Amino acid sequence: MKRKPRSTKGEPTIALINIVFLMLIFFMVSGTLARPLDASLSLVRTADLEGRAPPDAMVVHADGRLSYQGRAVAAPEDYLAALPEAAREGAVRLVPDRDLPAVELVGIAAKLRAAGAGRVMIVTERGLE
Amino acid sequence: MTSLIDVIFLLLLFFMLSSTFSKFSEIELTAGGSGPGRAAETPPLFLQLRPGDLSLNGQNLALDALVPALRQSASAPDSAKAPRTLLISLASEVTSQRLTDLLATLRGTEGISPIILGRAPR
Repeated sequence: MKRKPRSTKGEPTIALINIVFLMLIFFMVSGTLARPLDASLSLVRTADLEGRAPPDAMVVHADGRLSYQGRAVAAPEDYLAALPEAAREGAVRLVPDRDLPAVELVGIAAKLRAAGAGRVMIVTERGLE
Repeated sequence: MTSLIDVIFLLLLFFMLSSTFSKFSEIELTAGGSGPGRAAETPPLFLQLRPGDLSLNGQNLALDALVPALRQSASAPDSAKAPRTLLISLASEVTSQRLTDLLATLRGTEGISPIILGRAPR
């Protein structure tokens, strides 16, 4: 009796698609598409504030450098001047590093307000409860 | 069949690489200075923030003990009186994290309008 050689099956395509599809749906549902902030930035942590959409705002690094969308900003007034008119009147947002001296943060906010910003908001990272 | 996998794989990679999982929130920075200089009938409170502790009107407190202490001296929330001014002075070593912690604590307190004292812009 001759042993029949086992037919070599291909990889299980349907199962593969299923898994990849599940991962796709997981990432689509649970993640949020956002422009990345600076990688070296560690945001201020807060616990009990309401959430908001990922920010697209000026970043203040721990050493006081300013940047917006990866490009350096010379002065807070320059950032404000680049904003549209309607955004200037409302809330202007800042993303400070958690180690930035608070005096500098207040100074930047005062400059923004002197240049015509309505309210100055700080964007923080919400801890997972 | 293979082309389907390819497309789904591309989509998967796109969403994996471009999505963020961190959650954000925001709080208003009440850097005062401007505003009408109203003659207040009640004297303002003075809070000095330091990296380790803080002092309210010269009395040393921890951050947790601040809200009960403020409740006593705040004007009643439903009264017509203007909220009592709280002047916040920052020591030079205070970080943004510490200031935000204080602002988040103050946010739940009624009858207080905090003003952060900053350096004069040069």
